[in-house]
Amino acid sequence: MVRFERVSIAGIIDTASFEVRGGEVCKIITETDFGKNALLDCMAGLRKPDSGSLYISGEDIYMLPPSKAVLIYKEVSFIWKGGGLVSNLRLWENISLPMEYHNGVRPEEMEDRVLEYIEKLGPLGKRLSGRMNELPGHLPEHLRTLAGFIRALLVEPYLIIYDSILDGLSEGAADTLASLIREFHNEQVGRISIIVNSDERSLNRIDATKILRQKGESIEQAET
Amino acid sequence: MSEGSAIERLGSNILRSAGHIRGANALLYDALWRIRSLLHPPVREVFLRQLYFTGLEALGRIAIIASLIGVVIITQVINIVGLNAELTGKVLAWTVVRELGPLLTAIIIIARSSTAVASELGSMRVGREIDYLRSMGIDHIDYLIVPRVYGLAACVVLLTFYFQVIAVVGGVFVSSAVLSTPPLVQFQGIFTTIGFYEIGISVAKSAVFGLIIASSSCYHGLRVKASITEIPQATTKAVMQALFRVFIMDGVITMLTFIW
Repeated sequence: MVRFERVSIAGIIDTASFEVRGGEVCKIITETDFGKNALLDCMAGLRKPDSGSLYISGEDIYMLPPSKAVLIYKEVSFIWKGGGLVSNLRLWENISLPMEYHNGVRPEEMEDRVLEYIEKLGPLGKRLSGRMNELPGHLPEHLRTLAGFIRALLVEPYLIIYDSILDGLSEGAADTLASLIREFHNEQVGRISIIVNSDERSLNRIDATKILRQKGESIEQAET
Repeated sequence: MSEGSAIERLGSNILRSAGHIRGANALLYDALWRIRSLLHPPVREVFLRQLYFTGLEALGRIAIIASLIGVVIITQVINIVGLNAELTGKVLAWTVVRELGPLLTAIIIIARSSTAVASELGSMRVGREIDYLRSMGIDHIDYLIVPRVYGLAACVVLLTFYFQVIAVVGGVFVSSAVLSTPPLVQFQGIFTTIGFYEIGISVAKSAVFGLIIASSSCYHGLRVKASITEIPQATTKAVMQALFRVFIMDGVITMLTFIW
């Protein structure tokens, strides 16, 4: 479960309280990109709220010492806009990094699964597979985002948080990706998917069990 | 400009510099305790890359500089002591092994790698890559700093030895040509002068210098906040702090080991 308890971020959110339970797909629609980024940073343990608590896996992540807080994110995946990749690692090294680091899985052992996901992505996947040996700085944003997506899927997290995942994609590509998001969510019982965006239209392809919408400095639940 | 404000500024600068040195030391101690992170294959990759970029890629330049240093020292020594082959060799080895080897190697590494490490880490800060690593459950100290600290320290130790061998051998052969004596005569003099104590101190010095260079570079790289214009400032501070600390520690170690 992810639980916000009276969380305030100055100028953005004022005492927001909500929770997202196991099995839920939750869309959070913010008013601005600035608000979206602040919320995501808060969930990633990168920005302590001015007040309130944020619980992930039952732990108040901002009360834990940094060395313990970082371990919470071993089973959480973020798909950042632009992929959230390391610039001096090739695409393939970026994709295999968390699995190799946390679980000691060698890159060649992940190859089959990566190819499976690439195939599911269709033409987008083909474009991605041809550039696995490149550094991310040379790649268009949507390919970097897809690399971040595959990296996240490999980890098989119980909580996955998407940042503007469908932005910048063609209609067909967005449909393919939305379908993959749904499929991945249903693969594990109790998996939580949170999709955060400031543009509501781009989230229409994704069915959600819960929609939270920012209105001014409050976050309210909307009808699904 | 009032005297008071000049003194205040001086005091403030000294305190700020002391704070930065304290910060770099704290980062170093943290990294040293986390040696176990080298067990992670991706961390070992970073460590090996550091060895390659700092160590292997510097071999050519260090060889050239070391040879020239050997020639320069020999020339000056011959001018001072005259045509005394044994004494010439001893002074060459004494100077290179005890002082110039560790110090000049450290300076070369500061020029090459300190700037690279500080700017790379600064760029990663600006590009939010350190944040992204954290969001994957990867502690940036374990993944980015530990391999750089151990990698740079190992390189400085190994390159110092390499520098010393080339400088001494190069200097001996030049001096043999000038003095028309067999190199063996000078090598015999060298082996009576340089013992395990001198070599041990040289290794310890170079290890300390390597740790200083790594900690100064990493510390200032990580201090970059959000602007790309901070990166050149960070690299300058990293270089200046590394140079300052290396010279200070050189003096301290020399005084402790060779004078007292």
